Amino acid sequence: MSRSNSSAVSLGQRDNGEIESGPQKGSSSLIRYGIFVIFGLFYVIVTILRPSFLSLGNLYDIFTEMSIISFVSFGEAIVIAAGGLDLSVGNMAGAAAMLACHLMSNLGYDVGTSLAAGVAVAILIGVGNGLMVTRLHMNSLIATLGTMFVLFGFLYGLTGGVSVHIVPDNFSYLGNGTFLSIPIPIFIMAVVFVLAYLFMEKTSYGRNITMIGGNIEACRLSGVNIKKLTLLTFVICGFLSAFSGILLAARQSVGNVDLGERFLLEAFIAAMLGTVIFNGKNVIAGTLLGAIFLTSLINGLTLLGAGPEWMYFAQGALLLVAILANYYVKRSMLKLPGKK
Amino acid sequence: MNHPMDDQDNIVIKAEHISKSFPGVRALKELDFEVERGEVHALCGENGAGKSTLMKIIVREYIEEEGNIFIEGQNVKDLGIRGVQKLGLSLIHQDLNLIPMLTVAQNICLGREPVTRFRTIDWKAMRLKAAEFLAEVTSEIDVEERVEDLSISEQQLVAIARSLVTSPGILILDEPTARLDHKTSDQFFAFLERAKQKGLTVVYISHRLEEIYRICDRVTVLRDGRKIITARIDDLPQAELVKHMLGREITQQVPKETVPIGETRLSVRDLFPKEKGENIHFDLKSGEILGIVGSIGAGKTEVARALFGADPKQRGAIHIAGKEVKIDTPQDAIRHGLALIPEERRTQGLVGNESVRKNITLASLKKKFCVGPSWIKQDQEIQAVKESIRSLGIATPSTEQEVQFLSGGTQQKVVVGKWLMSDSSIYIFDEPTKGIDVGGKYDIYKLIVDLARQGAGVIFISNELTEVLSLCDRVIVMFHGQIIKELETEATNREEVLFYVMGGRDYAETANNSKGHH
Repeated sequence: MSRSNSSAVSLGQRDNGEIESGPQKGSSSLIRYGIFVIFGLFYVIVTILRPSFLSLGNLYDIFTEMSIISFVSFGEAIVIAAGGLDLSVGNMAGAAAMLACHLMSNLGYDVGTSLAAGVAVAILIGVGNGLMVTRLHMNSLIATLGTMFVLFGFLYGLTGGVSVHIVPDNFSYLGNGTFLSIPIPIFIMAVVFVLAYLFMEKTSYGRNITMIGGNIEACRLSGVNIKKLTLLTFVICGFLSAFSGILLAARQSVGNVDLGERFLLEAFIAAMLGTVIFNGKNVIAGTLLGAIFLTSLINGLTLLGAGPEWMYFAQGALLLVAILANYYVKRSMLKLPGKK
Repeated sequence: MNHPMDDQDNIVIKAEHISKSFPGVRALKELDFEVERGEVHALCGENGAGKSTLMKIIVREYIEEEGNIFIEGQNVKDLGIRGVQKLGLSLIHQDLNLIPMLTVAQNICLGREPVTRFRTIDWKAMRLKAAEFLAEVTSEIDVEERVEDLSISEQQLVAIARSLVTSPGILILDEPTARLDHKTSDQFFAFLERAKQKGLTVVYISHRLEEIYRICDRVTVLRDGRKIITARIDDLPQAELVKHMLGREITQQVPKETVPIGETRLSVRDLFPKEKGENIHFDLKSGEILGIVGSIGAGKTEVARALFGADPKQRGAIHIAGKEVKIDTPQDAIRHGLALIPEERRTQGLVGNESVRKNITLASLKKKFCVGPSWIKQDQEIQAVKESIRSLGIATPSTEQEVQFLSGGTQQKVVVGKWLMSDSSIYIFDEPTKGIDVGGKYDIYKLIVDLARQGAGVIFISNELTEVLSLCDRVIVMFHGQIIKELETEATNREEVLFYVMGGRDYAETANNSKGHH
């Protein structure tokens, strides 16, 4: 008897609402602050062991790397904001870059045309992803998984699996050049960051994309154009993926078939961290921080002499932490007062 | 405390002094309830009277705070759901709990699949077993069909067939006919007749007079968590039963206000919602509050959603201010000034983790607060939201408060604020006071009256007759997907409305008869 009474009491607290998300909110912010604390400690340790970590040259390296993965991460973050997932980002980046390289190096087109073609292809793939999700009602995870493998095929078909060595200098400048001794990719990143931030926070598109991610049915019943906006997120994601792929190719001065593959994991980690860092708000700024965390982690581990097994281990662990934190954030979002 | 078998053997369910509360509500108060062997026992009461709660306690889904329950003479205090199943009890829920992707056979045998000697599922035996149980209920469904391909009425029959798998001696049916159409109803009643002849005991929760009087032996009426009466059905005229369900009239909570009624704003002609409902036909004038009542499954929400373009409709013409309009999506509806305050506020009305501000401007952002193609004028937005918070009396610390942390009544005001912001002129409220405390309800009534005074047309869908009668000018009663009666609230009373809600035919005649009866 007393047992059932006490359970009724705890039920009561839950139903009076407000309070219930307390512990979950607590654990999600615990994880969030935990991320900052862990990275703070990591930086301190790396700096003590390898003082060159904080040298200007290394910082430029970190930020250039970060810039390259930031575009694809912003794209993924925007898709996630609307409640979707895009697994094809890496291969969209690869396809855009390889097509551009192929056109300029093997077929002799000028750099501008080649890049435009690369970006256009990525946008088209984004449209395809978006249509599969909005018109054919496919789960975005499954749809983009399919795209991912189709693009594998495309990449091999395009170049026969052979790397393309890039000829034009002005292309390689995009990835390796500097202006006022600051690497070019950082400038491009800064511009794209500001635009993406304004898009998500200051326009009705970005607002409604975020609202859809919060409650799609409430948005539909409020007249928000769900299909158009969901499609748009995939198109933007394709567009931004192309930036990452092309800049990476320019930086390496060589186009490989597996060029964009690393982006899937990296974009996921950055975007997931980005969603968590400000509790589901302001995802673009969060994703930028996530990308900085990720690149500095890889850079620091490299300086410490860690082998590839540690890289994968660390990235995997970070992704799991981000997903876990995300789960708690979402859960505290979804726990609404009242109904059990 | 432990009763031996001292009761007569023919009491199969005995509940003594059951009390149970939920946060803020006392659902059951010292309730006694008995069911005799082999009878069909109707359980009646308005929504929230405690019928479903009592049944869930009997099958051990809920645990009572006080009292004892005996099934077949055995105290069930320490028995779980499986334990009472072993005593022969089976409950068929209002929500069917079927798995849509699986076949009828798989659903019927779920968790009890026959196996071969290699411990794999014996598909053939499963089909046979399922067909056998299904045949008790209907002969018109194929066990190979997937549940999602069946109509909702057929799914209900499958759910009933599934409950027979445990060979229950006592069957509890929670509004089974709410989902049945005429054809499947007949099959269902034929099944009940056969079950009764086989000696099955049935507890039957229903809102339909005709059914209750057709198949039940006794009836128990609950009101506000208490038992009002148990009687043989033959001793209780229909109008009398309705009176017991309602109790005395509660004093009006809403200051009734006469608002001048204007031109016809909305006409609905021959509307056929896709899910449920036929030939819906009504007009709404500006300044008018039109109530739509009916029991669960009568098709009220379906009408609202079809009107708003939320669900596809089969056909129907909608005129707004005299012009025929095409409404296929919520966007169309909003463009023509319609607003839906949906039944499920949390899942359909609000984005819980977003701010009051973003929720209030959700439907009007592009139209009112953007320059150029989409640039948000945030100052103007904040100003407008502040104004809305003030005029609606939304109890929030700031415009940036996440709506999930607000009380139910306040959340509902945010939903209304969203539609005021988008300049709607026809408001459809679907159960707006569900789960909202008394003070919050009062605020919502005031809000609705205000809307009417400003010239909006209001459709007010509710199960609570008291609020409908005190708020509305006119009431439409739906039954089985059809409008069966239209009443002026001035000239009717709760007994009459409830009589029609329960599918009664001619109130005046029945009321006279019951007077004669005494």
